[in-house]
Amino acid sequence: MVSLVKPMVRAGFVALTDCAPLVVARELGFDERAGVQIEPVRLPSWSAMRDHIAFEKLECAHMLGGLSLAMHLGLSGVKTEMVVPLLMGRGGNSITISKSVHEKALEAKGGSYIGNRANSASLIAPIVEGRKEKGLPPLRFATVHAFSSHNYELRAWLAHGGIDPDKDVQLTVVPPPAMVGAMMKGEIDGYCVGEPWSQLAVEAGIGCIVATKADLFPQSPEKVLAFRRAWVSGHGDEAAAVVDAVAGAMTWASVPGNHEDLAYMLSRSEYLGVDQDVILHGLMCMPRLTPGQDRMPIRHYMSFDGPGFAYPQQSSALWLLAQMRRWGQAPAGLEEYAGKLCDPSLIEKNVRYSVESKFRKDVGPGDNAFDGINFDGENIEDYWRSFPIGGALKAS
Amino acid sequence: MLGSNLKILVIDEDPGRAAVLEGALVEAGYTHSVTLRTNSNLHQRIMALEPDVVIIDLQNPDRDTLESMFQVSRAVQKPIAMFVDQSDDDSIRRAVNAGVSAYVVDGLKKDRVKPVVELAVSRFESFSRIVRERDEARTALAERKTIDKAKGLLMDRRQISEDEAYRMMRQTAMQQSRRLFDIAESIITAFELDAQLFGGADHG
Repeated sequence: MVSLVKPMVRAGFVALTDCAPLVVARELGFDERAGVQIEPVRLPSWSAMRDHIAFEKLECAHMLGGLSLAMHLGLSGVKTEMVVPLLMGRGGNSITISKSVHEKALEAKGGSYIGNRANSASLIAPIVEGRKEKGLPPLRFATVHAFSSHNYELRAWLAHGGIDPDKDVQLTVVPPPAMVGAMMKGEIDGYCVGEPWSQLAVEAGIGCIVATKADLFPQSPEKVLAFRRAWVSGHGDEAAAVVDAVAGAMTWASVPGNHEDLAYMLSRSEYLGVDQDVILHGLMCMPRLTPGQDRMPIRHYMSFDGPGFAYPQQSSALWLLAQMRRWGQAPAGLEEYAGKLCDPSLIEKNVRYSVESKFRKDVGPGDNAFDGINFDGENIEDYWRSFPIGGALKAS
Repeated sequence: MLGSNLKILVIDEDPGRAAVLEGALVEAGYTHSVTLRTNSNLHQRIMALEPDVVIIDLQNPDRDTLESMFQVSRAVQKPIAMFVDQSDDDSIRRAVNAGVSAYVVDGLKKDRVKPVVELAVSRFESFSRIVRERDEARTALAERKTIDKAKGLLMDRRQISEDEAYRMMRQTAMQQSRRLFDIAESIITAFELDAQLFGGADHG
């Protein structure tokens, strides 16, 4: 008798809507058809995820692109050589400010804000300034990890509004599932987090979404499928099967007709434990931005399918490294090693992928960036130094 | 005593485990240890305490907040790094399995920190063993009760002796290769269903 038991691969995830490809791969059997069994393991925070990977309690994970690079470079936790054979989609993050700060900000503007979401930090700039003048403690903002796209998005958004994230506000870290609670308790005034934790604050009536990742860096990397390189070296076939299963699940998860089923699947307590409608609105790219107002369509608010959304280009790692350089998290000269993080060799062996739009190679991570600064992977130093805040003004 | 002047901060949501570890640290001569249970005022507490070593549950969500504080030099005077003795695979594995993570002030000598981490690991291990044993005992007790209830139902409805009821259940369990407890649950469900469908009165 042929053994029906497929090799088990432990895959970590954090309770976020964009862990969907791993969940779908398991729940709908994409994994077994590809020849492996994916065991999703939920972790409470990103540092726990990092350590579980580094200490070999997991083979791979749904992971922050920035954190996988930081591990790879030895900038966070124990230095661990990593490899990213697949990006897991785009978007999903939003910047939410508390309802009370939002109301104060609108008051100062005469009741309404007219302007695009990418510039909305200008809304809170007078409050930031006012608190400084009065000697009040600065506004507190949270992101999900120091090496997260959320941190880079929040910082870039603040800086674009003339607010220095290192001087004018206080930044802290709160794990995604704890974010809404922290705002409810008044511990933070705003945050940048992935779905469903932005929609949940709006539905709970405590927060307003003022900008989304799609408004800021629509093509920049978000979650990735990250492996410990040492494991991949000894388990090439299993790793390829996981990539195959997750890429197939991404396609399934991006079909609008599947969104209701997907929202239901994710809402279960072992995954997100959040109401399925709240999850669904994000998946449909139809979020509610302000409590009590109508939901509105936002293109690529979050998506598992779009041009180049899955292809692991070296420039994606370099874009992340450039953000680390901009905010003083990484020393110079790491470009070559960083570029090795993204490795398309596994997907290039799979002919099915070459025809799919999400594996297009001609889309850059910095395309359509809201700040208008051109990103060039060949010269990240010039890129980050050209920013007035977090760039030229800082030595090193 | 070596290392007794180290300032150790223990952050643990489990008050039982925190108490066990705190007691052990004091007993080992680390009299400057402080235990925090929640994240309330973590910032100020750490700034006031300036710990040399922080011991925290690997799964504790507050770790992310803690790490971000360490990265901001304004919050903590001396930079703090995660303590891992990379030359010692076994102790890493043991610490991770026990769920212990430790952060230490940069430059602190390995041999001063290691006994603290080892102490934490052994206390975490024994604590989780106690919890496991307690849970197992609770489960065993609950299963025992279910089996007794099923036995009672059989004796009552079939007018058979305790021994006969027990043998009947044992035999069914063996035939179906299921646990005695599962059979007992099925019996109880069947009787309950029976009572609901056909009215309990006739059956007593």
